[in-house]
This record gives sequence, structure tokens and C-alpha cells, in this order.
Amino acid sequence: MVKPKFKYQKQIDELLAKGCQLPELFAPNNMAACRFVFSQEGHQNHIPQYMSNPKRMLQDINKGTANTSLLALSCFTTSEKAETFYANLRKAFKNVFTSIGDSLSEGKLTNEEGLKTSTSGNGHFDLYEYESCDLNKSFVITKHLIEKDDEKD
Amino acid sequence: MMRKIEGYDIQYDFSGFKKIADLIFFEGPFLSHYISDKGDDYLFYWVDKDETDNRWLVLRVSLANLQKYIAKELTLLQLIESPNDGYLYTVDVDNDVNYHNVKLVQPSALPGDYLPEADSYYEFEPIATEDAGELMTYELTIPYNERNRFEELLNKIGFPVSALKKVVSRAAVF
Repeated sequence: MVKPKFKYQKQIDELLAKGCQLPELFAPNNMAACRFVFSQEGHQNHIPQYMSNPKRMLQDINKGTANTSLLALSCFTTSEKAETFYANLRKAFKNVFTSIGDSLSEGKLTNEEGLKTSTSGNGHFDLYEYESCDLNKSFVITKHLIEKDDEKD
Repeated sequence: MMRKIEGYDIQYDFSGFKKIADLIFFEGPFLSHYISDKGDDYLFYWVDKDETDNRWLVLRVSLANLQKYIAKELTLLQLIESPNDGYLYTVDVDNDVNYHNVKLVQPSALPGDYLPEADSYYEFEPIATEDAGELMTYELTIPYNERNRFEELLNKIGFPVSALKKVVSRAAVF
């Protein structure tokens, strides 16, 4: 059986060649998961940091701080854990929704969509997507995380 | 376009600052601990962004207060409202990591959405940079007759004396 390629295999290979390492990865086995997204129509969601800002990857390579994690998607195991994390972030940064999103999206992760890292105590893990993965099709927005009054003009 | 901040336009060179740790990180740094070329401790606190820039507040803090924040004895709001110098800087950083629009600002001039909540206790895990150990290592020579006074001082600021025991013991021999 041919091993599936990651969606951003070229970039991952580039980081591996620079000495970065992939963490230990596991099959998600159809697990439920959620992610922060932007509810605004037309916003491109489910894009890893280095892909939405390729300059950042180059800068991190030059600084010696590049990390394959930024070619993966941040996920949480449960909506409760995601909301707790979001609430703690918002206490510290009232405008955080402009950076990481204003809504929670939920779905299931099949073994055809990619591999996940181990889950940390706060429920967070990274999803390294396979080529065919498109969470825009399988994840749906289930909750708005900020009050309408808090949104910026 | 980000909002205009009341403050004094100044030139300030942040190039000598070295990152010690990201204190809050989610898909990127939100709160980071830096040390200046003079050895002072600074916080870079993210507050805003637009299409081209991220805006940060930069403030000098004491290591003791930083440790109290990590230990949940102080809130982030308390740190931001009481910077060591009485003022802080705002700086916009573009996608090419150019620092510009540096202003000297009074904490009281900051808009509400640039301030943490009153209960902004630390609920995260710090991520130290690889060279943090080297940057944060101090060599101390404590005269033997000052050893007790030094330990009292460490206790007073809440620093675990046991962490320095080896160094203190060795210093006492000299």
C-alpha cells in the first residue's frame, strides 16, 4: 500500500532537510475534533500558519526556529476544552478573534484525512493533513465564540 | 487599519532584544519574554493586527513580577498597568519583521481592548527558546558572611533557594 503524502509534503521535506523533526504521529480513528475558524464569508479557513504566511516560514528557517507544527492544523478534542482555552486567551487578548478566529467548527477526523500528534493536557493536538484532506467539507461551524458587540468595526 | 494611539513618536532599536520564552503561544506568539542587551526583562504583548501589521505592547518588567505572574499571584493586567518604567511602548511589526510606528505610551492611554481582563491569570505553558538557559544563567559570588542575608532576600522575592543551593555552596567555599 502506498503511503499517503501530506498536503504540505514539499514544505515539510524542506523543514526536515533543515534539521526539523516531525513529532510522533497517530491515526485519528474517526475521532471528534474541533477548531477555531473565522465565520466571515469568504475567509479561507483550515490553512496552516506557514501556508497562510509563507514569509514566516522563511524567517523562522533563517532564525533557526522553524517548526513543522506550523504546517499542521491546531485542533482540540472537545468543544469544552477548546472553549476553555479560547476563554483564557480572550481574558489576556481581547482582540484575539482577529487573529485565530471567532467561531468553533466541529467534525470527525478519519484516517484518510491525516495523522495527529499526541493530545496535550488542555485537549490540543496538531493534525498533519494528507493531500486529499479538506476540512472545509467535513467541519461545520457550531458556535460563535464572541458577542456581536465585541466585534471590531 | 489599526486605531491611532495617543503617545509620543520615538525611535527605539529593538534589535538587541533576545527572546527567552513564549509565555503564551497559539499558532504563533502572543506573549513573549525578552531580555535586552542591558540584561533587562521585557514583555512583548500582542494587542492588534490588520492586513499588514501586528501591534505589540513592549514593557519592562521585573523578573520577580514575571515569576509572580507565572505563579498566578499577579494578573497580566497588573503587569501591563504597572510597567517598571511607568510607561510602555507600542510598536507595529510588518510581515517582513520591520518594526515601525514606535510610540511611548502611558498605560492609562491604552484603549480598553488593548488591556487584559481583571482576572487574566496565567493559564498556559511557557515554551523556552533553545538558548534561554544560556541567556538566563547568572554567575554569583556570594561572600560567606553574606550567605544568610542572600538566602533571606531570595525567600523574600519567592525564589526557590534550593535551585541555587549548589552555586551558593560552591561560592561559599571560595
